[in-house]
Amino acid sequence: MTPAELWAQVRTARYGGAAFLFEWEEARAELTERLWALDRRWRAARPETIADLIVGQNSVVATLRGVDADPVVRWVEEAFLTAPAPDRGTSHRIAVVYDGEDLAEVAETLGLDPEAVAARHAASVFRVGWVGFLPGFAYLTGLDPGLVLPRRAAVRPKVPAGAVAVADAMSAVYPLSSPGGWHLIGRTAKPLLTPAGPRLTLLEPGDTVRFVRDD
Amino acid sequence: MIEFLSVRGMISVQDGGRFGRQNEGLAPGGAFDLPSLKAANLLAGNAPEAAALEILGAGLTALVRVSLPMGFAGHPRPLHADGHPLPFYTTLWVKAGTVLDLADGPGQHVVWALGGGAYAPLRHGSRSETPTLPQLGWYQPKRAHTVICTVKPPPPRPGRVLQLDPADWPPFGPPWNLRVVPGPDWDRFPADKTALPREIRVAAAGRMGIRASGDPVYPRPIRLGTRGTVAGAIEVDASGTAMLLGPERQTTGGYPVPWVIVPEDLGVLAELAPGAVVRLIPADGARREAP
Repeated sequence: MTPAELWAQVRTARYGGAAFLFEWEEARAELTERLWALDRRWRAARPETIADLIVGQNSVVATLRGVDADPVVRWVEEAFLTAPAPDRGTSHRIAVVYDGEDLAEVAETLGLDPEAVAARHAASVFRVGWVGFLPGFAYLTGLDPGLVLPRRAAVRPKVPAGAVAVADAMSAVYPLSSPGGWHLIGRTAKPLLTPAGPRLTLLEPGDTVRFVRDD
Repeated sequence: MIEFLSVRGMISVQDGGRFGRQNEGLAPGGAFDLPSLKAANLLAGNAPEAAALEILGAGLTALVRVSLPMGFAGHPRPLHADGHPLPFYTTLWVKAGTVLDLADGPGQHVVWALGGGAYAPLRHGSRSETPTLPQLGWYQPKRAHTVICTVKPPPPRPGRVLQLDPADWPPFGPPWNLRVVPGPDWDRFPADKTALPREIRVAAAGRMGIRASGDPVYPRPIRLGTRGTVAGAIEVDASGTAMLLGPERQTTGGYPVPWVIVPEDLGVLAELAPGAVVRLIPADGARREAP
């Protein structure tokens, strides 16, 4: 589908008094690419009318800096239609030790051995879908279909920073220690969040991520 | 400059918020109640969204180490300088050596602005100590002997003395009323909107938001993709629990939003404590449903 055809399907809704939601019925590859392009255009352009622009799975939320909504809707439409696709984004390689607390259980549930879980995870090529939940928490799409399983029944009260996890059809690295409901299969020492640095987070929507075995 | 002698509530430095990074997982944060921040700053002679001290819950005792103008806004509660009562919503010139005591109530929320602005490091365009997640290291815990400097030197002598009328603020309830407009998922809920909550009982409250307790209000899941959140969104999860999102909310969510609180009423969230009952009132122009 062309950007114009996708835009024709958008549902635009006022999101309270100070934001707009642009949402599509379902996520699809062409839409995801447009959302990444929009996110990149926003990061580069930072129009004064928009305070925040948040890319989701099949949506964009734009929060208004002023009260005038028209320029915001126009800017989002223009960027959605014309921003260049990010190609592969920045490529990241993240070294992982596959010794997660849930690795054995994940392997058993999937009918694989832990070695195979690690091998399949390290062979997947991920793209950053969107960032949310915690500062720098990137939802990585592209998990090997053989590793898909629902989230844990109970949320673990404390997942350590650097934990490499899978849930549903996604993978992620916990940038900070926090509660979490994903399955922990490994850990990395690579910082995804630099609270004291000029650049806060490492991964942006559209970036490519590969995990490299370090065990 | 002030020095805390005792800290009994949750105190953080907050300004107008850190916008432009929600797509990196960082909620804007900023003052829970923007009108109170602006009022306190006006009294202290600061820019409206300058950084100030936000006090949630119980109060504090502090030594004023450098003479400076200041202002207190939010929900008025007893305030004393060396034992003498002081008013809220009035410019105060407080001399070095004074001991200030802010009582533990009534109310949940006070903004204390210091002339020159309360100092916290400027990070990505804001001095808000948000998120207050200790793991991030942006929030400096406030305890006895924590010193708060000012961003700029306070003026050497009193300037204009202002008095504001707190009646302009949403009422310091109860009853707690929040005006709401239909959210983006209003039409996904069944035609019978009476199944939606009209009254919410607060189970937990904080800068992230307000979680409701009580009967499930809409226990049928609606599948949505993950999407960005906004302050004041009322999310209803699959168990029917409502969550009213505050300044330090999670930046994305996947629960349907039947209502959004109007921006003018967001400050009410700062005043809510567990057990409070909140009524949702359709704002003018919102679609009204037969009871």
